Amino acid sequence: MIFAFAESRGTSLRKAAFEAISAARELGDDVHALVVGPSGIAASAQELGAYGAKKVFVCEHAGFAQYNPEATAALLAERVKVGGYRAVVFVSTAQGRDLAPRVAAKLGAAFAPDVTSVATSGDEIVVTHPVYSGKAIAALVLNGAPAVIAARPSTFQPARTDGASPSVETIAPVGDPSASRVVVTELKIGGGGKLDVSEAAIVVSGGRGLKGPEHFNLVEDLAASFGNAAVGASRAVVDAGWRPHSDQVGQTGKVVSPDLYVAVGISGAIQHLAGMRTAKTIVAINRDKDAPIFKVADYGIVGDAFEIVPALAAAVREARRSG
Amino acid sequence: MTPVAESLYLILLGLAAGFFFYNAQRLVEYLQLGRPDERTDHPLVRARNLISIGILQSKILRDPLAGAMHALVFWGFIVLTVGSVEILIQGVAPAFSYAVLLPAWLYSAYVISQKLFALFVLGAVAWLFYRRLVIRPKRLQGDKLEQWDALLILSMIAALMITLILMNGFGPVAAPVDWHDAMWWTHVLILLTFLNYLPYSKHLHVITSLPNVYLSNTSGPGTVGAMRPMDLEAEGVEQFGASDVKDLPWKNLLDGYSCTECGRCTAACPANLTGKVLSPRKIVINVRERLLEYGGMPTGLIHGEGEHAPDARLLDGYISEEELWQCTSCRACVQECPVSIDQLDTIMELRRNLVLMESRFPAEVQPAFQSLERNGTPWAFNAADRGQWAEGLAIHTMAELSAQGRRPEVLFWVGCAGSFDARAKKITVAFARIMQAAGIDFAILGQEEKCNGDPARRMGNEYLYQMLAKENIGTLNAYGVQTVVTICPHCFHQLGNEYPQLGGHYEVIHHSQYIERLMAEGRVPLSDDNRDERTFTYHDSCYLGRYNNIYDAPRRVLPVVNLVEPTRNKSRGLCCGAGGGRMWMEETQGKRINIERTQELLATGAEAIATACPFCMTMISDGVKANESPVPVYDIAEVVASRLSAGV
Repeated sequence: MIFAFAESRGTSLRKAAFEAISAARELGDDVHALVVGPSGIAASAQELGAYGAKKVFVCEHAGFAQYNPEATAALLAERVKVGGYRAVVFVSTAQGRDLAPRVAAKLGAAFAPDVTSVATSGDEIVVTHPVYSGKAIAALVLNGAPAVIAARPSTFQPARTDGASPSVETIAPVGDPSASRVVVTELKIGGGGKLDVSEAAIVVSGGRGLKGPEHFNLVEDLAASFGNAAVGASRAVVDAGWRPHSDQVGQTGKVVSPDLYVAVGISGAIQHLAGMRTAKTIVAINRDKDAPIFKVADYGIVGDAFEIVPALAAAVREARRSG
Repeated sequence: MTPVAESLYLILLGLAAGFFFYNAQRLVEYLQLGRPDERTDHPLVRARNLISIGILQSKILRDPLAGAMHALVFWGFIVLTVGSVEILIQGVAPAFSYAVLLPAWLYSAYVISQKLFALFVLGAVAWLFYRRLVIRPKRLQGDKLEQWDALLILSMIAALMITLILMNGFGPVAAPVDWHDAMWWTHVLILLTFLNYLPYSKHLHVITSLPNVYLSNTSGPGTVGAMRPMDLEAEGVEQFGASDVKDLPWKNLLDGYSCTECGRCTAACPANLTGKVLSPRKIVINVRERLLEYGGMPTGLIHGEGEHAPDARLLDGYISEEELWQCTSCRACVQECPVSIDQLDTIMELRRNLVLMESRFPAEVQPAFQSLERNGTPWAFNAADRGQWAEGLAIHTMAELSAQGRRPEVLFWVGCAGSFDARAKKITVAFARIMQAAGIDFAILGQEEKCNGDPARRMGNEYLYQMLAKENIGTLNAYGVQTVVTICPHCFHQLGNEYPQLGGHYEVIHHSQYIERLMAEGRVPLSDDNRDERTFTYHDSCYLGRYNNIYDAPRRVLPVVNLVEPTRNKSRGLCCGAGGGRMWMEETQGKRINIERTQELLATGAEAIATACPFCMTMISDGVKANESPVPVYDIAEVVASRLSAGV
């Protein structure tokens, strides 16, 4: 039996809840899940079943209206101990990164964070996780039961199953969740709704080669042409006040590793390269053919950004339309 | 003098001396609250400093006019103190005079010296009044209390001189009014008041500055800029770095007493010059202010700078984190201080506490620390790519040569910038070409080289520094390396001046000196036909210049006809803004230092700028771009390499 923690916020489930179940299912079919929340969270139990949970424990309490680390960890640890589970699976979200080590400590169990694959090998559970900024993959054997695993987000894709509806059991909290020593008083959602450069799969960045803040509309338009791309900037233009610091990509700004990085009018000073060179595909547009950015670029276009960028944006739109 | 007057005088003298020694003893006690610090080594160097910096006023004279005026007052004080002793003795023995002790000619000289210096000092004080009240230099603008303190002191000195001149002008005569006697009393009363005012005033420096100069860091060029050694494994040590005055070495506390708030340090500080809050003067004043509060002395006119909560510790209470992180460690403040105060040492001890004890540092520094730990370079580059620049250039690594049983003449220590930064790699290649042309047998460490640790150390992360430095020392010692050449002043300073603290002893040569040596030996084959006709200017690197006194070598190796100097140059050179780990921090307050410096360099009208440090290269190149100027920036090695004869 494998246990999965179903992350929620308020009365709705997070994507991580289904990812935890997906990861747990790779270790065994008999997956049980726990969801906690304020009154109304019980309605989500059926949905967890649709993604493969055979049994869902639900704990409703006003003390779970906000994330409640102490009470949640206590309940989880008790449930896992009582149920005799082989493993308990979290997702390394902000909540999961906080909860999983707490539970592991309470259970005295082996803990593996940021896990990208799970497997059973005889009696052992073997997981992998990236080390050295993703340059190497470490395989870990987790001894003893239960094993506590936190899966890397967006690694285990949620998948619906056609199984029967789950059995749902309502359980009581351990202690009084409202009396926790740690109280979340407020949740501030950052980013102002704009896609953050460090999370986007595609980043289009502009540099001094754009000659002025008013020309950033070219970069913004190119980003828009991809659909959901974020706009970044080099340190030079942030220093010059053209763009906010939250857009800065580089050593002292955001370190990004998107699938596609497009650098427009950025020469590629070391401070910038340190923040984006691990992108999967790098496209550079620069007037100077000797610019260091071309050393790390997979595709380079030497020429005038003011001609190339609009043409590229039109081509991207065309390609997406046709296909 | 009547017997009553004589008794009155003796009582006054006793009270004045007693109160002065009471305060002096308290101030000495407070110094003992600090950490121990060895300051008795190198007596000869100390004596030399005392004579040149103290007695001969060499550093004060860096500001020629104000310096000359100060020197007059200072020398006047020395000469007139001899006279004061005579005057005080005359209070009990009116007939006493040096005439009874000295040969006639010497006594006449003494009498003339007293009259002359009283006039000199009076003249200088008049000018100093004029400067404070009319010229009002920016660096002297403290708060109101400081203004009054300064004016009161000047007034007292003026009154002392006037009463002295008048006293000497009147012979002792009988009633109705004995003017000589009246002037004598006035002079003596002011003198005793002045003496007892000192412990309550920034003018305490007249007593502490000579000791402060004598006790200053004496390790000489190079190691004088080395940071304090730190034993991270010492038993029982619970505090690394300093969060309060008790954690600072006692000499840093004496610095507080010795500061007379002249502001020369702050006027030279690149952070302060560009509108940031850091002021080295404030740091020193805060140390004194907090020490007196901590020790329990009523502060009186010894006042502070900035606001603070009562009984707050030095860090946060008086000095903010923000101030500390703005320091570029350029040493301009230490260079300028006329009484050898070490502001930088205090700043660095506070930074060490922030990082080692409280884990507080700007968020953007984290990736640099992390990368230093994982990749051995502050930028997130793959350690395996370190030697990539040398591919195809027939340059060997120590490992390769060692496998063949060979040991090269010198090790070329490339550094992180020279290994990973596309722009700095060109410097690396240029210097390697020069060495190849000169037939030097050299090798690099390649993958085995790691960051020298300077960024970590200057950012307060001593633990990370020692980890990197010890690894490097292990590698260098394993190959039996004796001579190291490098293109980076930070690597140069670390390996040469700070690695000895951890057991690494090598002859380390900066490429400017090395190229100079090779040129002097006629080993660099330069062609004569393409001499650079452009006008160059040279930007001094702090870690070459102020840290290591290397000013001439980089200028001499530049094979150019016209070299013009920016207004601030050599020991007064302005930092590029990258030192002290600032390379890996954001600069959000005021004007950017590199832009300020670049504008100074461009103002020379030079057609090209030369640097001798890869960090200066980055900062000045960025500055040139931000100014939209077409002026190119070269490293000295690139300028030399461009003139190598064809075929080499």
